[in-house]
Amino acid sequence: MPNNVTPSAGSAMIRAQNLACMRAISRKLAEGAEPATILTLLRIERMGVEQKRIPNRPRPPLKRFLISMLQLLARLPVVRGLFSVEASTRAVFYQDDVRRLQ
Amino acid sequence: MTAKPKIAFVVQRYGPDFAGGAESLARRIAEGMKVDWDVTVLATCAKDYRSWLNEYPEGEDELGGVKIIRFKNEAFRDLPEFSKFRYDPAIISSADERWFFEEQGPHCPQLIAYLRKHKDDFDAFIFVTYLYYQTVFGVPEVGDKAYLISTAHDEPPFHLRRTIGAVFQKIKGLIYLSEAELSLIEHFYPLKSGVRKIKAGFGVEVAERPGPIDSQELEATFADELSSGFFLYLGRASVTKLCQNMFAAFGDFKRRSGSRAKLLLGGALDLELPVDIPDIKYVGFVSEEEKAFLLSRAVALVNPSATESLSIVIQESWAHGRPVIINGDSDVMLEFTRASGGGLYYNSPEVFSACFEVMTEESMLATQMGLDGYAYVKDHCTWQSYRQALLSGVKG
Repeated sequence: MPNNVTPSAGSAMIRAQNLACMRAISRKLAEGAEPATILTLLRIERMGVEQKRIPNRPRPPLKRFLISMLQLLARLPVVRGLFSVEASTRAVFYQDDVRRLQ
Repeated sequence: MTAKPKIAFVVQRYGPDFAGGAESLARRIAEGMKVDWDVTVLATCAKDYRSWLNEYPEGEDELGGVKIIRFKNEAFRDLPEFSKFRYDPAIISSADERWFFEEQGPHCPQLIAYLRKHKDDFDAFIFVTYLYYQTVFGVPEVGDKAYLISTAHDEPPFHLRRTIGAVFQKIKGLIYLSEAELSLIEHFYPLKSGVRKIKAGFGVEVAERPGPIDSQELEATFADELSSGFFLYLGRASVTKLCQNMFAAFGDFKRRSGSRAKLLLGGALDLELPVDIPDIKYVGFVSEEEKAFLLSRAVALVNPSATESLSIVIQESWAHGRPVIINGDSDVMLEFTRASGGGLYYNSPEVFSACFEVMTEESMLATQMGLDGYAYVKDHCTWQSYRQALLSGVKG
């Protein structure tokens, strides 16, 4: 079944998932998890440089959020230079990403 | 003038005291269809689903212009004993299944005897919910006139296959509420060819225009909540509805965001409210007027249950133009929420908490989701569309 078909629900859903995933990443780091482990859990290494496209989503709010997300990530010293680069290949996180970090 | 078809609704409990669930559904349909049908409701005297004690008077009654006949239960539920039942398909026998449904109750042989004796007095019988005694033992008595609003979802009793399979094999028509429900039933209990499949969803009263309802009295009553903003839960608040998860996610949201928003609970309260999470308030049973007011003014309606068969209340929220936060593990609610774009869904505590945050911080998105939900129910879930589905599908 497709994700929400309306732009508003799609944007809001992505925002909620990204927020949750960011917090889950922070929590894992605080618990002492290695960044590489987190990347593996998120399967980011398999994404390569693929830019995930999100059809029918309004771009500006998403881009704004993505930038703020990366800025937040960049503030975490342990992941600076590693995670931010890798994470930039991901436009969005999904509910499964959050589950994998639990 | 042609006489109206005589239709009997068969349901475990019926009366003015139910804020949600199958009983509320049965009442809405029975009262709504009385214009077209000569409706009689056949129910037990029970008011409490845990004990099934006879609390309503036996015999004829009337509510909302609908005739009711209630029958006394002859045994009551022993919950400690009942809860020992093991749903292990490897060891469950036919006798075990029979024991389960007799204990599940409401144990009302008089109702079954009435069905046997009066089968020919009615054109059709509409059983509401697959799960209880009156359906399991009543459908076989009137099979070729039996329609079932099964409200089935994936839960252990649904897999008591000998008994439940026999029910679905005997009905003349299935009135289903969502595609998720139909596909669940057909996966485990394929229906015979010729069985009428009537997709009815549910019909709600949809406001001419979505928006906040004005009421000086209620605005004064809920002034504090209106000032801080509030999320709303309606229905029976209990552990089985996973309300404890809602409290935890709401508490997490409050700690992270510093939001003043409140969480209001309306309906029956079957669990302890947490003492360490602020701004959760139980407002008791609400009138229809209060319900409409609260729905139209909430930031969002929340339904944390994973086992909903329909959740009328999420459609009512959309009918007032407000979005919802729902448990994504409920296939039925997920189907409606995805189709409408009327809200957010979660599959983890972290996303649940973030949903509260997005709804408060992205008010434009929340408003638009509410409007998308409104457009959906206006197109798909009006009472008129529901009525037409029943009129064309239920034939004597």
